[in-house]
Amino acid sequence: MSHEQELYLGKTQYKVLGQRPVRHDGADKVTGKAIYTADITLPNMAYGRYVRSPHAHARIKSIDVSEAAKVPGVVAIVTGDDWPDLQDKVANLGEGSVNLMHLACNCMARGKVLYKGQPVAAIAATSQQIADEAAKRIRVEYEPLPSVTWVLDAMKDSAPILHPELRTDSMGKKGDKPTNVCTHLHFEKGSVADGFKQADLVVEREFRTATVHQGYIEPHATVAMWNEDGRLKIWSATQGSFTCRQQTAELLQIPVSQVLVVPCEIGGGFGGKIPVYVEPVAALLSRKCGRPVKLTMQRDEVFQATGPTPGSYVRIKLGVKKGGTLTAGEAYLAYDAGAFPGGMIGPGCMCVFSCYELPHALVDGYDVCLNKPKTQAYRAPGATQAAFACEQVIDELAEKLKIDPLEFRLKNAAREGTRRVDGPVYPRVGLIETLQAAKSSDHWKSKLTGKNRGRGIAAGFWFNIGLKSSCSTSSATATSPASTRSPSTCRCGWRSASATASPSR
Amino acid sequence: MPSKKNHVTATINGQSVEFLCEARQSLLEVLRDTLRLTGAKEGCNNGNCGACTVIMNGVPVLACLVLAVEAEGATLTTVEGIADQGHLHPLQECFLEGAALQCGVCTPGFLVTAKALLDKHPNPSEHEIRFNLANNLCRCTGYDKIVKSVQEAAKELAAK
Repeated sequence: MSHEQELYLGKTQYKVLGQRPVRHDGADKVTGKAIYTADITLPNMAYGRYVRSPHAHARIKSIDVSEAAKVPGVVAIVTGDDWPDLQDKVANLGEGSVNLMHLACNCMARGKVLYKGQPVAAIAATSQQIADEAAKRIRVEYEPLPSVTWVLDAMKDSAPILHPELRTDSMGKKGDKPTNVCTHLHFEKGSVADGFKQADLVVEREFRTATVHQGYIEPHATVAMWNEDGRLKIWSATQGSFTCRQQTAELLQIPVSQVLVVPCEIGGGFGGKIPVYVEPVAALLSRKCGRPVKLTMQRDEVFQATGPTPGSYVRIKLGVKKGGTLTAGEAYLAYDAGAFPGGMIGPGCMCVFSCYELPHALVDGYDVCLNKPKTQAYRAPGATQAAFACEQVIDELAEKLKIDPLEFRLKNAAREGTRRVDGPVYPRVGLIETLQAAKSSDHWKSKLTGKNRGRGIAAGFWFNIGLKSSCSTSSATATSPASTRSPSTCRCGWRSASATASPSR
Repeated sequence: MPSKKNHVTATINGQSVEFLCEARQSLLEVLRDTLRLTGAKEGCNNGNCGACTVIMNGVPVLACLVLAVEAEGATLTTVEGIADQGHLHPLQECFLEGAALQCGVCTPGFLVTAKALLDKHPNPSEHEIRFNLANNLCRCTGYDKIVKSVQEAAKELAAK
């Protein structure tokens, strides 16, 4: 057995690798000493509460805060009117360009509400109870509009339109009519028609996945203190202190140098605490009242208006020869973007066939707006829905051909030199080694005992982006955001994957 | 909205404590905001997640569903009161050794619930442990490591 094999089979012993050290923040956490954002109390602090939309889709006709403002103890009220004009502004936020108007409206609606639970106002008061009670006195008048919550319905010509100005970007070409389809991606390799002709067996299946929330136990929380000298300090439950700082600076149109973000212990994020929600709102409240403001969500607010992962419709068609060699694959993926464009369809399309050597493949993907919260990253965002669908069909093919599902995957596994459907040619990816390690493991070989025991295998792919301590540079252009004063930006401080020993913060 | 406050005396983590609270206030609110014992967490504020669990007169209770005035005369233990004079409780040690925590928000609730169980039943079966921890939700680690850590702690306590 080679050295490398011994390494991945866990037969090589190291002093550090393979050990299980006690986590460095463990003692704080088992004694109740660890400080999470909601644990912070500052002198003269005010407490915030949101007013949220009861409608999935509605025009905001008016917001009357006069009664709420009269409640003794109320110190600040913020609505969409209090935000800077962000029309047509775009910011590079590390994982891609973000339309700032969309990001801001996800924090607080302007003009229309696009999902139930979208914030329309926020209030700060000298106690949480006063804020809660006074928030009920903010009167919002809505004109309800028809709504749509299933991705295939939202793609229909007859669907209610969320963003009248939206046109489909199909391979760089803009569509000519209002739509909810933000993006159409298309990848092609070889000729699927030829590939399916070569197949002895073709299986095509449809899959629907639900919208799923990341489900962190700690609700979103922040404390913001905007001082009279213009400096803004934020304590936050965020997965990235630097992206939190940049998003907040962009949304408030202030220089990043004026914003300091203190990341507290985070009570789970799983991708859902990368975007800002509470931070800019608490900042605006703080600027208005001159006090630090704590803004925490309640559990129902977290579920209604943060996260989730996209619900999806995926159709997979795979062709295979009798001997078990895949000849062609075709995938159609339609993913919820949520209320604003920019969901997880890209990684979905790139990952759907990424584990297999497919000579002929075609992938169509659609990013679709509908009346649900804006989808966010969630543990390999977009890849899981695609992998679930593809792996079901792989299993079915193996079963129909009476080939062991692990052997079937080994036979067709992507390897060094395999060209993924979206273009890249793999360096060494390790799938074959991983499958072989699984094959020689007791977890695969041991006899099943007891009732209702089964065993399965599935393959999946994700990119190693390496965000947690990496640098990225981006050139400044005439349209670069004013808040980023340097021509290149260095991003680090990500707390996404494994900054500590845990694989799943 | 001022309201008349109630005077409450309770024993918390071995100390006699007095506090004033409104009739509407939950025990969790008073522990966290008035007494600054922030170890008990608010995950849901409606009795679902168990992150706010504290021991009240020997019984694990959800502090978000207990009124603070109900603590009059009660003996309470929060996660801050589990360690003994600078030494971690075996449960805390076993949670660390067994990697039974990640983000740590559910951890105080699990520890307190498990302590209440072991105080009454020093040698619980796996089934009993799972049954007693059923009201505590964890999102990061899964439950096996937590259950195993409670089993380990029971063994350590028995050996003492």
